[in-house]
Amino acid sequence: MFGFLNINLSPEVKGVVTQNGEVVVGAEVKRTLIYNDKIYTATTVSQADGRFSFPAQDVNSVMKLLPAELVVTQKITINVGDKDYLAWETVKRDDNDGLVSKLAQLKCELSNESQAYEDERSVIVGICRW
Amino acid sequence: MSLLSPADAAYAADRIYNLKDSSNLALFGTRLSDKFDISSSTRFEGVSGGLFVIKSHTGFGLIAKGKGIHQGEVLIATRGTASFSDGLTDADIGLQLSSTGKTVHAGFNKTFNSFLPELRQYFNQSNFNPTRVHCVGHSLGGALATMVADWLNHRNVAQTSLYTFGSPRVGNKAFAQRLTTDMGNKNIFRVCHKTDIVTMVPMWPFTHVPVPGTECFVNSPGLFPGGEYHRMGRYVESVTGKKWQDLKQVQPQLSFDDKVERWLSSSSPLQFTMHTSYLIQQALMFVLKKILYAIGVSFQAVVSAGMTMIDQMAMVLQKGYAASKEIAGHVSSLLDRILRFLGSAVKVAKDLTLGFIKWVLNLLAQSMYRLAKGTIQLVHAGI
Repeated sequence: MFGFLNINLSPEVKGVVTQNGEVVVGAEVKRTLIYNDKIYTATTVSQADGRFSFPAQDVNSVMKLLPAELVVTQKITINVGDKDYLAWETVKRDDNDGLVSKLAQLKCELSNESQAYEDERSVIVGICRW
Repeated sequence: MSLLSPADAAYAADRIYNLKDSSNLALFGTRLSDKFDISSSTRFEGVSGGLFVIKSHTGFGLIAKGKGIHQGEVLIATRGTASFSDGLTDADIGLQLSSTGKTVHAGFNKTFNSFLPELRQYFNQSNFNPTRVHCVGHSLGGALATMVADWLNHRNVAQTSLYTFGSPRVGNKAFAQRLTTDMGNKNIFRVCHKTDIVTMVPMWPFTHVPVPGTECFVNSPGLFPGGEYHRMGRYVESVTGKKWQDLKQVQPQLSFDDKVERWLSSSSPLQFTMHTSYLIQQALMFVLKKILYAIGVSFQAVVSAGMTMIDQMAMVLQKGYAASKEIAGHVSSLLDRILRFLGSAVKVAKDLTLGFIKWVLNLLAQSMYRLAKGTIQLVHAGI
């Protein structure tokens, strides 16, 4: 019903936190989504196997009908001890299947250097790989 | 000294959106890194929004110094509408005097003025005399780029080139003619898709640059102007691999055959089918868009917290109904079509109330929900 007003801010996110190859239990993972000047946050902690997940986040808005660019800033940070790691930061600009498949299998190795991955449709910055 | 290629200009116009809410310059991407110093560029924030809404500070653009083949030059990229408050800038139609004393769109002028101090500061640096400034932007960002180019010309800062994608009209005819004379038609690249609705607003007396001159017209598919071919991603696709000469061709006659409008105003009987339900949704979308494009005030009502989707749509329809006779006609026919579709004998009254509109939309929502459920059952039964 009125699916033409639906905007997906983030697909389901699944990932695993490791440090030097060992799973990290109890890492605080935070997902921040910014769309239309509103901020949507969710937090979780990594489980015994280092895994964490976030459900998909959708909103309904008549913004969808305006000739406005879709700009959704997605940021995932991981806090372990007193250290914050930028796991993932990108800007979703359209229904980008590439982001969906990457976010479904994030490998967050804390010793990784932050990298900037770029393709035609997006730039992704952070320590996560996929 | 060289011009930006269509692909490079489109890249900058596209990637500047990525800095809307983040100050992480890495999100801009690296494809222009050998041509401009993005890593140390200045990100400037603008204020958008009407008089009575919350102002929001978000990244509106960046300024980067050139290197390599663009040594001594500067790139300025400005972004377009990506949130309700930006939308208000677009819709804030009215004329104002710009900082250079010309007659321009009030909303664009306000947003431009909000980051003008940062522009001044940047170009006032001592021992800084760029040879050329490239101004790039999409949509509202194209309008802002046009205003930046006008300001640079007025101050005689450097030779300026302007590259816009899906830009609305910025100022009156005198503004457009003056800017074209100052910059030269050969330095202005206005890329527009045939079916990009934004390039058709605001209407007269607003005039596009260059005038006289040639735009970069892209014959996008479809008959109806809409939002799809306004998307920057579509412009990136359209100009990739092209040269400016290829793009500067004569604009064909626009054919605008408004089927949805015709369907709305006809009174043929309706059957309760998925096809009609699709047409009803298209018509609903058509009328909502028409209103949202035409009047900005409704955005304020729409963003109120705690409103359901039906409330939002009803509010927009009611605002549109009250705003103009033409739109009022569309809203009445739409509700009339919906009621016929639902088989209701209720007639649309002369003075539409918000309550009535909500009632009709709720009725529609319930029926379509039932219809959708029924269809799923049919599919599962293999029919």
